Amino acid sequence: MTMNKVMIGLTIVGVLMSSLPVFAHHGRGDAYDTKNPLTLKATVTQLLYVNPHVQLYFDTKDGHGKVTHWNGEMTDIGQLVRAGWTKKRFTDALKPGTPVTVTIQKSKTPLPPGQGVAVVMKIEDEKGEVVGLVRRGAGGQE
Amino acid sequence: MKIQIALSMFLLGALMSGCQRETGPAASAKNSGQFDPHDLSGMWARFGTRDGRGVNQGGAPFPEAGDTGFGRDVPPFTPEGQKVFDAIKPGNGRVLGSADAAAHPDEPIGRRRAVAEKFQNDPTGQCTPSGLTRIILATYFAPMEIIQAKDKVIEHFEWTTDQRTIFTDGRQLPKEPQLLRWNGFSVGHWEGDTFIVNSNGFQENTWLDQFGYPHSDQMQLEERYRRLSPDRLELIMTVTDPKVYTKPFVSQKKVFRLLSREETTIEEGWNDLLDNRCVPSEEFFFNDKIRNPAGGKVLAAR
Repeated sequence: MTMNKVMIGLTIVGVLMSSLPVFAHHGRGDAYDTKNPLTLKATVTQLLYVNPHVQLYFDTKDGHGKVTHWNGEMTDIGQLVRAGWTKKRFTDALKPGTPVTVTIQKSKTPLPPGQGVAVVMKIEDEKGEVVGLVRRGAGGQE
Repeated sequence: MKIQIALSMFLLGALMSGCQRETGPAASAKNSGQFDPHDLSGMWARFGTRDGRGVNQGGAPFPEAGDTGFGRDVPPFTPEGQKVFDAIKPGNGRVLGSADAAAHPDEPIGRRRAVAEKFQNDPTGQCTPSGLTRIILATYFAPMEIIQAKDKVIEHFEWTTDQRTIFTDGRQLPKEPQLLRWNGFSVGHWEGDTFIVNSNGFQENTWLDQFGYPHSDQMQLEERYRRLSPDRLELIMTVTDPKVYTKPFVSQKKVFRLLSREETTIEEGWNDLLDNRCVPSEEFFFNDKIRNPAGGKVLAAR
């Protein structure tokens, strides 16, 4: 009986813990590999112009054609709007299927094959023009 | 003829005053090079101008704005303050134990002890309000609008859509406030051209800045605002909190820039602050997709 109570208690604690968000609105600590930015050819799968951060979802292919699905953290709406990158302009430039070149800093946490999480530092279109803003630290110099 | 001249002058005057109304007193002062040092109204921020191509988090450099933190001249903690400080795990700053942190031994320790996501305990991560000093400091990336009325000054912060009221009607601060507030109780008065704001009655579970400097519910805050020029506003803050610090903690000087109408236009013909609340459902979505997997939690297959 006592053991059951302990188990129930542990289960409750477990459920509570798993539902707690890891914190937002704060520094990235050492979550991302800031020293080794990657520049990759990618295809946009989705662009979410939302709070607390704009999110770019994209796919990349390695030399063997194996696809990785990326979830990318970007800056916030305020930064983009005040630089003239309105919702319409930004989402029009990054429609699903758009080929781009992204410079990213990937998460240090190992993820299952085919999945990636990263901070997007820079996006270039096919003409090599920057879409949106260049995040400070792109290229690794923080 | 005289009537025609008088009429023309009247029309010109009316047009000019109309222009002033359209652009706001602070902006027209900027254009004329003159300003009323007792007029603090307008949209202010601590980031540089943006040209649409530039780097984010500030655009053009604006070094006079000061940095993102409260201050570098940190007074010694009381024993209790030290305990609170040690329990705080920030995510901002140089990473604890890194070569980067080691290369900056001159910086206060609060700025070189950032930890990985899963070890952080930043209260704002769960939409807890930033607290007054930290929300003022958030102007390094999001503007603050100052609205001046006869008996009060209101500061409206874009980041998390927060606000505070500074009463200038002569009232005194509550002596022993019972209902503590995230942004405290505030009264303001002018001494010469300096607007001095005194506040108390703060909730204690917020940080002074993103580096995690603590304060208690005994914190008293003084803010000294001074308009330096048509488009520059200076602020120096002093925290007096004998529970946490052995001496008053004086902030670095912060300088705000008056934003133009163009810079604050968020929809065509609509200049305003953005609606930038901390919404739990949006936070949780973002955490599920990005923060949690980046911080060591398993990403669901998609």
